[in-house]
Amino acid sequence: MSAAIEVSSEAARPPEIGPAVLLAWRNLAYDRSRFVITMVGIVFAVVLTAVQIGLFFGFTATTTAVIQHTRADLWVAVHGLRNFEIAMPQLERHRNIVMEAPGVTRAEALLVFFSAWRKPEGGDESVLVVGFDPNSGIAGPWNIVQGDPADLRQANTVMVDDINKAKLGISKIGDRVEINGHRARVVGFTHGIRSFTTSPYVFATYRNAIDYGYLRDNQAEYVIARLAPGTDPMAVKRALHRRLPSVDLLTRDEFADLTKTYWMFTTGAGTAILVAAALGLVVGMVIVAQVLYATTVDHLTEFGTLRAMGAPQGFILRVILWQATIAALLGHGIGIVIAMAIARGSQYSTALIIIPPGLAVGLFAVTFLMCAGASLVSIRKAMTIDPAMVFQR
Amino acid sequence: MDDRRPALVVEGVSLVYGSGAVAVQALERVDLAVRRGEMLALMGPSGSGKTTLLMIMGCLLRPTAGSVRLLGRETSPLDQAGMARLRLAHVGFIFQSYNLFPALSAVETLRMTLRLKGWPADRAREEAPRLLAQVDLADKLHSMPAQLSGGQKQRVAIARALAGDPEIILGDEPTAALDWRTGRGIMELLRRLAHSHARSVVVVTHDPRVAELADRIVTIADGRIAPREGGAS
Ligand SMILES: Nc1ncnc2c1ncn2[C@@H]1O[C@H](COP(=O)(O)OP(=O)(O)O)[C@@H](O)[C@H]1O
Ligand SMILES: [Mg+2]
Repeated sequence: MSAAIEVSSEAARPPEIGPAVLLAWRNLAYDRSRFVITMVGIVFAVVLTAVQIGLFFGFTATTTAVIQHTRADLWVAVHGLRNFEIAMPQLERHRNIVMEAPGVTRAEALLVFFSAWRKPEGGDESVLVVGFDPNSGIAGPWNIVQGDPADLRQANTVMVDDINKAKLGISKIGDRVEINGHRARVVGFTHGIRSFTTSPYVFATYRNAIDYGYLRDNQAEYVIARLAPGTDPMAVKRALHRRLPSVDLLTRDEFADLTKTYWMFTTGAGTAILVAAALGLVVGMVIVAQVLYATTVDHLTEFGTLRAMGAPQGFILRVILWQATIAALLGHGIGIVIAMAIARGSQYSTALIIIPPGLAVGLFAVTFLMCAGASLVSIRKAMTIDPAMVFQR
Repeated sequence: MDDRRPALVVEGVSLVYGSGAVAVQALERVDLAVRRGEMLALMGPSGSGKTTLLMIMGCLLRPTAGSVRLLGRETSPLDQAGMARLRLAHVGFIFQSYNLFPALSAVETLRMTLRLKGWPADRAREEAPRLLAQVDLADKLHSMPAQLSGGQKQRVAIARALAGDPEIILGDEPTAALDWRTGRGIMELLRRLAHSHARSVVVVTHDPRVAELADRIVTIADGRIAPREGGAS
């Protein structure tokens, strides 16, 4: 066998990342307008997807906010319960039965019902009244930014969220409204308690809520219970179930899941958001695929020249993948910053957008795969190019 | 080192494009040797097989029959990747249409080429301007291809072919797109580079005036080397 050609060790060493990155970046940025289109496409896809998924997270948090902030270990409701907002009144004696169950330290009633809210200047809005027991601290408004919760103990008082000021036609403490025709006075504001149903939550004490709803005493949509530390809620549920076969017994997490699943999926609202997010990705992907393909095809002669010069196929592969990576890094960076700004802005809107770090990281992976996938078609074309092409013209 | 020893030897090389009824015999039993320090012009009418022979000499194309020896070693056992490694280390190419990288400046082109050939970044940074100075472009380091004249572009391409100091430089009609004066300048530069570093330079051309500037002229017709040889020196 004849000896292989001597190749200097320097030349045999695979080229470092440097030259591939340089060429990739320059090829990408060379055609300014195309570069801008690439960036707009990726940024558009990232912002749309991040905001949609952020909305999904925001809505999910919104649907379960009251459940999560109520320090009840067990929720008792009339059988057939599907979500927090729509619940049927239950029998008065349920509270006593729950109270007597072993492991239960406290049980109280919680009122939840839709009502008509008449603004001071006239006009009605639908609201969801939440009537809670002010003595235990289990339920009630949180994140109070204005007013004293103790004022809620006065007759005919309510607290609402400042995000809903305009919707509810009020602006300050002391504003007077009517709930179901019953007079009421605003004594404070929370911040960030949104309602998924678009009917704002109105917090009132149990006593006052009875008045607003013209209800009979001792009515309750929910009986909420605290358990002694270390008590297994499942054991309490089993014990209670024998006494109360016709009610639904749910732990906090079970109830949160039930409500979340109902609003996000049974109603189709969450699915619609996720479909919009997927569409954003698809549209972005199509734009990016087109542009990255065109970028590679435009530089095909250069790849042929590189191959003629003796550049390994791996070098061409790296250049194209670096084009995708750089596009993804820049597009994702800009997109996430814009999405974060939109999320920040949502702090003062009725639709909360939550973009946790995990979403930002996950979206980078998706963006990179999108860009790399978009390059796949052109990779084959560039890698299999015949270097002889550069001589034949 | 014996400068008279051939760097490139082609023996009995034939090449057939395609097969069956559409087969084209582009080369037929070609013998050719190029010495170190020699500039050779390959002449012939269009379609005579000049480019095909140049590609075979540059290990871009495998002959249908015959052998190619580069720097004393047989190339036929090499696979595609092996041929690519060989080109990268020992052969520099110059093209009629320059084939520069439009997005890279002159000095970046050279830096990238050197890095591609395995040079460390700092040495490539030092070497790139030196190579451009060698082709009289010390004042055009940061020019983009679009900002350069045809002759300047071809000189960047020559500097690129010289990067890493390959023993063999192959040019396919490198002056065809240039006016006569500029083309002559390019040929004189190539001849100087051949003589000063004992490189073997082969330039394809169909212009006899250009060919006159080489050390030796080989004429090819219908895929065969014409019997008569001549040259400037
Ligand atoms: N890829 C190819 N496929 C088929 N025939 C080819 C191919 N390349 C060149 N030829 C033919 O081979 C012959 C020699 O071509 P070429 O080497 O390009 O000649 P020159 O460079 O002297 O003009 C011509 O007849 C040409 O048509
Ligand atoms: Mg030709």
